[in-house]
Amino acid sequence: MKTRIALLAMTTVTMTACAPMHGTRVDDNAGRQTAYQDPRSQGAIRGGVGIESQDIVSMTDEMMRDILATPVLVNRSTPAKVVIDSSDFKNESSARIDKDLITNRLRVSLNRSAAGRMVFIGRRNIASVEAERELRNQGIVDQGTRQAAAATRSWDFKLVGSINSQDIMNTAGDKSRSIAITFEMIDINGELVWSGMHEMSKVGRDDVIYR
Amino acid sequence: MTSFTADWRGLAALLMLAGMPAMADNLNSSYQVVAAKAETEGERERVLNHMNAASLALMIQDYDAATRHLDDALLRIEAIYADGEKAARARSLWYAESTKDFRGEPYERAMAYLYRGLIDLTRGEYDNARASFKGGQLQDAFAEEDQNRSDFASLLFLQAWTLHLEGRKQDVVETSREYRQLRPALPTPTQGDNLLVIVETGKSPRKLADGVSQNILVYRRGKRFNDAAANIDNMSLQPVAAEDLYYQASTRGAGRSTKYSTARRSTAAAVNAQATCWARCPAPRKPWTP
Repeated sequence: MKTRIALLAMTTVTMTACAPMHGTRVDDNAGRQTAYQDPRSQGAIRGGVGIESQDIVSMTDEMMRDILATPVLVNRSTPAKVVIDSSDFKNESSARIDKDLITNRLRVSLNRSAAGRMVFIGRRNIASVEAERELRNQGIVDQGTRQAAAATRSWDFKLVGSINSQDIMNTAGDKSRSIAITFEMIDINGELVWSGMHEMSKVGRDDVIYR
Repeated sequence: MTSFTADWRGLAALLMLAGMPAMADNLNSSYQVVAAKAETEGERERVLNHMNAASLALMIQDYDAATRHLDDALLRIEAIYADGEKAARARSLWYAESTKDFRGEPYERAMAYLYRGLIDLTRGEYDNARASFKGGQLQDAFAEEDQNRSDFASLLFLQAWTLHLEGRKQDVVETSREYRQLRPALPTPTQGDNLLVIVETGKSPRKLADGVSQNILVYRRGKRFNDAAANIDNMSLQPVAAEDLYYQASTRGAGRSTKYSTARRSTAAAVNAQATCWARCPAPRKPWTP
């Protein structure tokens, strides 16, 4: 009888020990209703030391104001034709990022605020534009209400830039990341007619148990 | 220049060879199980589950799914764990390791970045790929033993490769120089190279609890595998050993927390490779011995 009890006890212990390894636990924590939060301020969920939504908003707003205050770009008799696209915006940092988040917001903000003082070229859509022009030329479709120019627009200025970072960690476990985002407007002759930079630095430290 | 994409098919095939040779038919169903587990099991093992799901997704060549799983895992790896209720509880002497969310050891985190970077590479997103490889290097730098910091040379090589694909010759030279300090005998990207084959062989290092109170985390080499050869489309490959994950794991030491908390149970690591070998074609070089 004693043996049986001992065996039963061992079996129970073994099963208890094995259960988390082989079974599937289900997270039964209560859910949370979706809530809106302001992308311009730090959200309820804090990430690591990387770029967050409020950083993108603040840096693109800052660059937009600076560009709109640059005479060579906005005080022209003929509005400057500008390309702002992520293809010439390099991520040299240690964090992955969707660069379109930055360039799209900057282009849209500028396009709305410039009110015709700058014209933006959608170079990413050139294949679609060329295809439609070809259809017009062949007479397959009509000429629409917007006169097609002799050739697809070229740009006068193009935004180039890069995201660079420097990571530092000390023996206490503090992690710091300094990020510099450089924006530059280059003209068709290769001259940089405007430059802007947004810098930020973040520091954090994991709880000791996670270091 | 040939896109890296051409290599991915071979990489996936080799991952299958290296990981679970006779289980190709079961991989899909295994993935479904692990992926479901990753979504339902909660935060504590979320990173581990998503890493495992990503490994399986890579094996079945579902790169979109692998991307999702890796992104989920990396989001938590990059987060700063502080001020939370769980962190406070895990810090207490009276709670076991099991209260702590899994974030992986430095080599596991580095491999998550490596795989994410490879996916970016196949999609032609070279700068984000490079960011992932740099991110992996940082995880390696967070390791405890100072003398072994940031010696995950494969990540450096892959950075050089992305620069090579972008045609940035001077940057390739500088990164290659850094790489050669760690792997002097290994090849670096040179003009004309247009194919990189990555062969992974073996199994991940095993993590075991050791010591009188089972409170020390130790590593052992993966075992029970038999890798015979690698052959892609009848190409003759002469791979060179580029990385030894067991070396990376065992020279890191565990996080200092393991000194006073109960070591977590032996767990299957998320990465499936023991060693990573590069093979450029044609680039027969003398093998590097770790």
